[in-house]
Amino acid sequence: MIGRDNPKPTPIDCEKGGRLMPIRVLLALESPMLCETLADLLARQEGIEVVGHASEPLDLLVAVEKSEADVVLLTFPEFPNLPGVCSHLFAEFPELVVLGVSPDGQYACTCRQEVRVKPLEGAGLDDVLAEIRSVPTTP
Amino acid sequence: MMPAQIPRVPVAIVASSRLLREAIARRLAAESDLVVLAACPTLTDVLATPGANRIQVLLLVADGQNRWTAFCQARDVLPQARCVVLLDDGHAGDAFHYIQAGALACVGLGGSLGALLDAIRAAAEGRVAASGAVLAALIRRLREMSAACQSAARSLPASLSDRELEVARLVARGLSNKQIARQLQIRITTVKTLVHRILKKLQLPRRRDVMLRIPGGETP
Repeated sequence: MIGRDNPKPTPIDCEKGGRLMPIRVLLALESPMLCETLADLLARQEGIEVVGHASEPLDLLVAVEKSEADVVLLTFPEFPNLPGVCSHLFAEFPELVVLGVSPDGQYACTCRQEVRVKPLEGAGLDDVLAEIRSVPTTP
Repeated sequence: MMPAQIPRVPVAIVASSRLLREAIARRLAAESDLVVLAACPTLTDVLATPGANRIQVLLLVADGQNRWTAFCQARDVLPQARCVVLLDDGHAGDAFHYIQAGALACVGLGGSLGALLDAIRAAAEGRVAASGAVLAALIRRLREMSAACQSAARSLPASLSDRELEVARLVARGLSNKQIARQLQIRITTVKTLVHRILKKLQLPRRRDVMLRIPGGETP
């Protein structure tokens, strides 16, 4: 973990090591109703912060940079194929985790740099929440 | 125990999309005046839930397999439940059919969470509600309908027989052939023939469109 081996950790590093920093989530789902409902639910969760939403790929690139998001919840129009925007995202933000959801809301997967795709057991709310919680926060 | 607790409105959700269904269910559960009895991918699953007969508001997300047929089935098997239909914006125009056939509220999937909560509460109180893209589509449809009614008023009495008009009114209310046959005490094959003739005479492609042309089609 960050700051673990640092002899004089800064206060912020301590917070991150102790998982006190909230996980920053950016929503970029196709369905506005789903987006808003999830944003509302996530905002009620301890340790999770919703840092915004984006509806267009270009907005998404800007929003990730601005919000310093740790994880992006994204609709994969051709699930499980990664949308083109992912390669840009991973090139710019190597630590970013993308949580892909199929348009019909039935399947989900997480993707990290080097296109490591891990399918989730289901696209249930609890599957998605657990996956968000497992994301390490970055400085 | 709280002394004067307001009874919660039992709500059931039908949506193919698992994530949407679970997210809405969890969010509604956070409301003090609502209780989610079931959140299922199909209406059949909801009906199999214990206490399904207590459902007061059925939230039907018109996605995947859950569309018009599921709505009509819900209306028949859960007569006590008020129906709120969530439509994607591409199908906002269908709101008219749902409301005409007895749905109390229609909300667009592009709409806000607040609009959905308002619609559920309105339905629980028996009020009609619509908002956003759905409301716009409804207004557009009303304009079309008023124009259609004006021309229909001139041409209808001459073109349809009394029996056909009687059947057409029931079709316009969203009744199935079976229900019409039962109500008029005629054979289902006769109903089919009459409906076929009505569509041909009115030059309509679908039976759902009959309600656009029949002035007396509103629900009593």
